[in-house]
Amino acid sequence: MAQFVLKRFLMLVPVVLGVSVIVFGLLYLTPGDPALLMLGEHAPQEQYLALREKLGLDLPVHIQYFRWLGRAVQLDLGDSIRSSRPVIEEIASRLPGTAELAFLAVLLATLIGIPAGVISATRPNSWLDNIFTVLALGGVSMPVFWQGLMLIIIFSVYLGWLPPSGRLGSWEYFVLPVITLGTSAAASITRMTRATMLEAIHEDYVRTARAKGLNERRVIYRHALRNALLPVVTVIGLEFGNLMAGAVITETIFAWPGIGRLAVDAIRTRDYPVVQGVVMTFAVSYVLINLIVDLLYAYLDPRLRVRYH
Amino acid sequence: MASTLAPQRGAGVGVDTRGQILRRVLRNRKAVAGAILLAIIVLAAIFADYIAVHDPYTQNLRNRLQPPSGEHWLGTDQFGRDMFSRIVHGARISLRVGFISIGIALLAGGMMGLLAGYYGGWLETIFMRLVDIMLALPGFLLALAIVSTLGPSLTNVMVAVGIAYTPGFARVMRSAVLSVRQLDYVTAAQAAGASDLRIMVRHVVPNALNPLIVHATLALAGSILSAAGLSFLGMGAQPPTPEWGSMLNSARSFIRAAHHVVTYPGLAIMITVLCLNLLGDGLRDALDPRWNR
Repeated sequence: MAQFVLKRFLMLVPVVLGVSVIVFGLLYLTPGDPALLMLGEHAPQEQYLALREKLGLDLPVHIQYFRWLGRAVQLDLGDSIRSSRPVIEEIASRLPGTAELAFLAVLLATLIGIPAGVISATRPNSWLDNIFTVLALGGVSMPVFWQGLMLIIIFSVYLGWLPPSGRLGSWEYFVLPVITLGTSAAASITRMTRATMLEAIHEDYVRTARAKGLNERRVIYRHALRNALLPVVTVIGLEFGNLMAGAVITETIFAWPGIGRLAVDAIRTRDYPVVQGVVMTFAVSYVLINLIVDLLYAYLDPRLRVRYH
Repeated sequence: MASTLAPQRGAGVGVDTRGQILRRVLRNRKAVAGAILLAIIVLAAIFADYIAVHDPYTQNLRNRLQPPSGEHWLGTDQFGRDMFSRIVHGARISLRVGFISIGIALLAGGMMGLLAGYYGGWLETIFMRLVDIMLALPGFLLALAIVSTLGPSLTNVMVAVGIAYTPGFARVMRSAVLSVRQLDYVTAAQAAGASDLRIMVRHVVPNALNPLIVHATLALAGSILSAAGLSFLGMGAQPPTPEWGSMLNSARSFIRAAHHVVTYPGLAIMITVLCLNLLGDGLRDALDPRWNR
């Protein structure tokens, strides 16, 4: 198993390096002078020259990249143009906000999605299955930003039950953002669970389990669900990607202090070191989460472990 | 039992005639419902000038934020413009953005997947590693990062979303090509001395079309959502363009006074995406033997 973990981990290195080339290259693909882009046309000459010097813009591009990468691996992502604070500090102070939102959203989505999918698959074409199927289809089709605004209209403006934005510690501030962020993930998990459960229920080992005289509950939960959950685990991992994208929008709507809103603010103010840092953070966390999912997958499915020995 | 046939899945591709496939699609209620709804939206987009009697750009400040009425079916927005006209015209923009970005992704990704799957070797290694790298960033964030450097505009959104959806198409195309490359008729064509180009165009691509069509339909739904999301963040269409995401963004501050300015553009996005998802689901059920039961 240790060998498997190491192998999978090493496979990430080229991917992360590739992403770093893209992230670094983004700024240099833009027509025009990056320093001028960041500071705006009317910046004083000495400030402009200082930034050029700092970014090393007079050096050849590949040297610039390796300098940037060398600092990045030491967690030095440069300083924010707007706040002059180190980018890594800005990210570190905002990351917990996004992490708690994403974690709660995945939790909510899993707690709703898996039971809903199992219920749908065990009673195909029943009225309950039809309701879940329609809701799930609506859930994956609904724009996150619209859902967030509708929730604000209903629960804050009309009913006045929940605060429309901000994060002041108490649980009320979490309800709307977590629902907004978790809905499409819940819908995807429901759809995937239903599909894989339907497949599993028709497998021979389920028929065998029934023939042995096991009660239906045991057949469904011990035999069918265990096998059906494997692809669902992958979907949950992939949903983290959608959650990061959703977090950018959700945090913007609910004025939530996370790295998603940091990214949007940085893009609006052309604070490129922050943009680069946030994009890199998103990519590394996404890749790490999917590594964990792969390892979990191997743990759940012994056939995969054997193949790597 | 269907499941015992599972190992031959890939080999089943291309066995059905076109008529059989069409009949299977037409028998699928989801596919038909999605197609009909989509047809209505496409027709509305084409004939927008005849359906929407008001001009989507004409302001009437004395008539701001009016609720739905006989004159203005979906009310008016913060500048007194007719919401119904703006939403109908918005269908044009959203569909165009969706089709163009998916066209870009289909061409670029399809080409990468075809060459990688057909030739294998170093070409496959390079293309597929590139795909892995692009997939390390969630699609919407990749698109956001690209627009942030290109600058906010609808054209840049199409390019960015197109690039973001490219790796998905490359993967689908490659696996479809891999499943037909080893089949007897491809080997036979090679033995008969057909050129690689001819084999790819005549034998490989037609047999890889089914999974590609399913993927394109679902990706179209996703790309319309992404593009609207980028416009909502102010990175895409700019006011006064009647684009649904950008309409939502500029109407946000008025939700307390008049929620209809936010409700209807979002509903339009949701219905469009919903019918594409219905169609995509239905096509997958009908075209992909794996999902048949």
